[in-house]
Amino acid sequence: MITLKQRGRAGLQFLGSLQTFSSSTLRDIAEQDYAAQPEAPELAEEFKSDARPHVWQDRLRRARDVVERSKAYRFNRFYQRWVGEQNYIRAIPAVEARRTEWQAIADAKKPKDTSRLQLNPNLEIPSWYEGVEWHLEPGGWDGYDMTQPMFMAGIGPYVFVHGGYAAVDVFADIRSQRGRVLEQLRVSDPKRIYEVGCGGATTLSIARQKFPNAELIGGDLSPALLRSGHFMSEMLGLNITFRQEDGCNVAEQDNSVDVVISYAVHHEMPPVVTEKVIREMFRILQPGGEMIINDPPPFRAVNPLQAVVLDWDTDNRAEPFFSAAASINLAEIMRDAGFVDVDEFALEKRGYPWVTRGRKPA
Amino acid sequence: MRTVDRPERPYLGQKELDDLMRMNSELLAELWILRDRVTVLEHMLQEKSVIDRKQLNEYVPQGDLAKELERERAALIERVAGAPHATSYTFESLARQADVG
Repeated sequence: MITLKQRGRAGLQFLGSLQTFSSSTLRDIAEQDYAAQPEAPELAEEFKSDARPHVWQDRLRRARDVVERSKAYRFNRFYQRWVGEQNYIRAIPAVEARRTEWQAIADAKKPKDTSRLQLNPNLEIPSWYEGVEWHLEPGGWDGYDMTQPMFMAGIGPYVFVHGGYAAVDVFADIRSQRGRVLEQLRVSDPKRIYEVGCGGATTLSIARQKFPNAELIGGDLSPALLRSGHFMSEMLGLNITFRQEDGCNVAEQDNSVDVVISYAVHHEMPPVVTEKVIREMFRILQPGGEMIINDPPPFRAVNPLQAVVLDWDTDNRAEPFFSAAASINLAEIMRDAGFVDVDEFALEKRGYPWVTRGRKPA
Repeated sequence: MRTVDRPERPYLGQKELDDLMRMNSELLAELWILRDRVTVLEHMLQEKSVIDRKQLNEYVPQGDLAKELERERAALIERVAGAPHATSYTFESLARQADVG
């Protein structure tokens, strides 16, 4: 992997430290400020129950008015947004300075010929997916051909490593979180595993460690992320099949996989698409197979301040479906699709990772 | 060309405050990058036995160097801390800055 020049490295390290300060010190003060408000106990009670999306919007508006009385909260949000933008403003020039070196690494790679990449240029890309600058990245997932080194050599090790953004709590280890989610599977020895929205295959690479003999298949809409995952898989000999396809209509046969993984994907799609994806995953699962989902927690599972923070991502970090996804009940959607033994729970504080899992009846 | 645009609603109550905080954050980042670079530079120079970082810490500027640092320090403070109060300027005040710059 490439290493960044001093300016790029130090600039990104600064962002990591500023985000840590914002999401720990400022956030703690904001929590104290919020707890001291007279409306806090009543809002806390109200937030515990499920509600229709428009009711959630009303609750969130009232909670936001209370939360924003805190100066620490306002500065916390300012820094979260600023760091969110600066991640790309600083990382892209830093990685561009190493383009030649990165290209040399890519050219010199010795593919292990274990993985397969099946892109579909004729795939109809859904309208909800197009034109979004996801996470404030210009051009979205497919806007930049150096996305992989940008995250692996820049934003990942210097900023994201500290946590403290979106649903990820400060100081959380996002890599070990993926492993902990996979540990919640109740299927012990899966032969075939499908991940919907596999992105750059970070979760599948951990699944490979846990299930060395399983056949791994990942589907995603983004060619850039699939290429990135395929590249890593080839470098490490992970033996994964990557397929560009819509999660509502995948190429797997009925009853053909033992496990479906969905990691941090449903908040990136409208709820109506989530319902279709879950039904499609039910179709491809073997009887007795299991689907495990990790996504940001629903509003009902966190306190009002955290709900306001999650809702904030929708308009401020280019996450158009974040609030809609946090307003629905994934467990109910899974039951409606036919899943049984469905349960849901948080693995760490502030509700994330939020696991929802269910089995197809045997 | 796809762009990422700032939200209309300011985070700190008014847009000018947000702008000032963006400038402040940018300066803080630049300050850190410079401090990082100086620290790395000192470390590399020490590894090559050009300087001794302990000596650097103990070094007390004397004579002309001490005067130069004092002048530049005062000018920096005047420019930064005095900026909100500098409601007018004269040829002399500008010439004085040029002298120490």
